[in-house]
Amino acid sequence: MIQPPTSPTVPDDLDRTLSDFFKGQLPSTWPACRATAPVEAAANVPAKSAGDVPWTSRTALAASVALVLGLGFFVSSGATNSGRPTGANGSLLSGATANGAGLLKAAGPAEKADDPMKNIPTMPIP
Amino acid sequence: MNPPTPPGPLGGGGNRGEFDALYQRHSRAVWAIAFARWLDADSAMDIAQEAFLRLWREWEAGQEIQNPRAWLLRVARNLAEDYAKSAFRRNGTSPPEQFQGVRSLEISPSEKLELVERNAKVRAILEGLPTADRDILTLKYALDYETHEIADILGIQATAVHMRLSRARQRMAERFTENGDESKP
Repeated sequence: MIQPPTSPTVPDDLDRTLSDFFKGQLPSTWPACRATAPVEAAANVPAKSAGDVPWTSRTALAASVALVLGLGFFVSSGATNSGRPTGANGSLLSGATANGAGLLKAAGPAEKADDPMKNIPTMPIP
Repeated sequence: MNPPTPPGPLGGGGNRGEFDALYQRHSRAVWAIAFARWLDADSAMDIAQEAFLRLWREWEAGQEIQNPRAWLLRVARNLAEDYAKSAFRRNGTSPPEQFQGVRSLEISPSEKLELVERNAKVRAILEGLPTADRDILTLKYALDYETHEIADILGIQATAVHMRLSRARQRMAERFTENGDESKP
C-alpha cells in the first residue's frame, strides 16, 4: 500500500478525525437495491383475487353501511318530531285548513260591523 | 468494504442476480461520489439508488453498457447537480449540521456535544474544499479504498490522487489551525 505523503504541520490525529466523520456518515446497514427489491417482493407475494378479501373486511363494511343507514333514519325521524311546537295540542289543529284567502274572506264582514266610525257623519273642514 | 473490481460490460436482458452483484460491488463508490457533492448521507443514498434504478431500466430496455461503474458514477454526479436545483434542497426543513452525531447513541451527552461540534467543524472545512478533493477524501476515509482503487474509480493517475489527498489534508489542517480552537485534531 502506498501511503500518501504527510506534512509535519498536519496533526497526527487528522486521519482519525476524518475517518470518524466519514464513517459516521455511512449507513449502519447497507440497504438493498431498490431497483430490484420491488420485483422480488412482487414475485414472492401471491396475487390476490377478489375472493381473497378477508371476511372481517366485509363484515366491517356491512356494519358501517348499516350504521350509516340507521343513523340517517334516526336523524330523519327525530327531525319530524322536533318540527311540532312544544306544548301544542295536536287535536286543536285537526281539520284546520291553511287557506289564507278563506280566512280573509271570513274576517271581512266582521270588521265592517264593528267599525266605530260607521255612524259618524263626515263634515267638511273649514 | 467491498473493493471495486474491474468493471465489465453490462449486456441488456441479464438476470437480476448479476445486477445485484453489480450493486454490491459499486453502490458504495456511487454513494461516496454523491456524498462528496453535498455531504449529506441520506441524499447520497437516494441519489445512488436512483442511479441504479436508471441503470436497471436501461438494462431492461436492452441497452448494452460497456462500463456500468463509469455510467453509474456519471449519472450520480449529474443527479447530485440536479439535486442542487430541487425545491427540497433550497427549502429544506433543517440544516444537516443539526443531525451530526445522531447515530452515536452510546456516548454521554458531553461527548455527544463535542462530537457534534467537531463534526460540524469538519463539515464546514470540507465544504470549502473542491468537490474533486472531497471525492478522494470520501473514498479514502469512508470506504478505506487504496490509492490505486481511488485512481481507478476517478479515472486519474495514482500520483494525482496522492497530490490531491496531500493538499486536501494540508488545507484541513490549516483551517483547523486558523480556527485556533482547542478541539482541533
